[in-house]
Amino acid sequence: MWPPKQHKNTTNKVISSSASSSSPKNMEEVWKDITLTNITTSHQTPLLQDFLSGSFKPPPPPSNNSGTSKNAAIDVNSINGNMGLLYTVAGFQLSFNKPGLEMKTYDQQQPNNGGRADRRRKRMIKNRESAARSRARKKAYTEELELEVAELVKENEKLRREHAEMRLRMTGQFPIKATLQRCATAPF
Amino acid sequence: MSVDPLIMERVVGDVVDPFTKLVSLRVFYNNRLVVNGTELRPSAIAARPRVDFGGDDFREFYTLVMVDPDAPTPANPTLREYLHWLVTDIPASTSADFGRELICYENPRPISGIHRMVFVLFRQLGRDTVYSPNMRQNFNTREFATQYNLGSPVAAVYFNCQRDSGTGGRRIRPENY
Repeated sequence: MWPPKQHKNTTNKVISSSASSSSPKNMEEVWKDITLTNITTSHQTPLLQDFLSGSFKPPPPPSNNSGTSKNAAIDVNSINGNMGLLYTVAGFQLSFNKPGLEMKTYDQQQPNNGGRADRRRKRMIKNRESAARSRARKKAYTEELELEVAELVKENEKLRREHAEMRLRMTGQFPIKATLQRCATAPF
Repeated sequence: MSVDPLIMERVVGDVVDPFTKLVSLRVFYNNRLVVNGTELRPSAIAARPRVDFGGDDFREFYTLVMVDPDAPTPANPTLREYLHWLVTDIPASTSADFGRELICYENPRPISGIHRMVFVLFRQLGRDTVYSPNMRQNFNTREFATQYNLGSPVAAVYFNCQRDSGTGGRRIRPENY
């Protein structure tokens, strides 16, 4: 029902990016890819969050020009069946636009709301990247400290052993002088 | 299973390619050794650090690069990498003071975000084979290394830096966007 090509595209990217802290670069590239494909396929694509909150903005079918189509009806079954898939694509845009799909009109969102959702979305992505970077930073630091500790413990043991050995060897060598000695610069 | 912190923080990846550490590299700010991932504020790193490294042959010369791959902000590093310091012709097993400072040390002053500051050490093919780039920003360590035949890095160290008044990555109040 949904265009299989597009779904494969987005889900693959989700899998790769949701696996442990991905670098900001990858996320940005993924984001750029998705926004590019969305720009080429449809005008306004609904957010998952907006869709779930109920205020759904149906994209115009390709045959008409934007903003005027009001004669589409959504196939309810297809949406319910795909909710599971939608949930896995959190935060990413999905293109709902399919030629020939009939959509029911829901409340049309105003342009201001669309802009706000846009910013919210961007902010969420940025926050997510920042959180991932934070986690990587924290992990890296604790890892480094653990390695250092291991190294230092090893070195400590080695030095202690050497010190003990040296002590044994030195006891017989130099008799310790217990008396004070006067040197040439003494005042008396 | 432990992964090298350099890889975890994506220093290997963003700045350099995977390499094997061949030479010991120790960076000291105010007699404090820089451990990978430690946090230093701009006030602590205002003066150039003491950099000691190993290597056995006095006839070998090394180049030290200090870059910030997160300039101007880690979320949008358009100036990656920003070159803070470049010293060349350093004889092995000495310190950076004995080299030629091509790009003088510039105190890092990140405005936004927590930046990684990376030191990379390269072994030169010969003396006087490395020249200074034109600009500090948009420096590319990999290209620089290929350009002057520096090969793979022999050592690297990094630390984190944020502005003096930064909150350490923790927000005190949630921001309302």
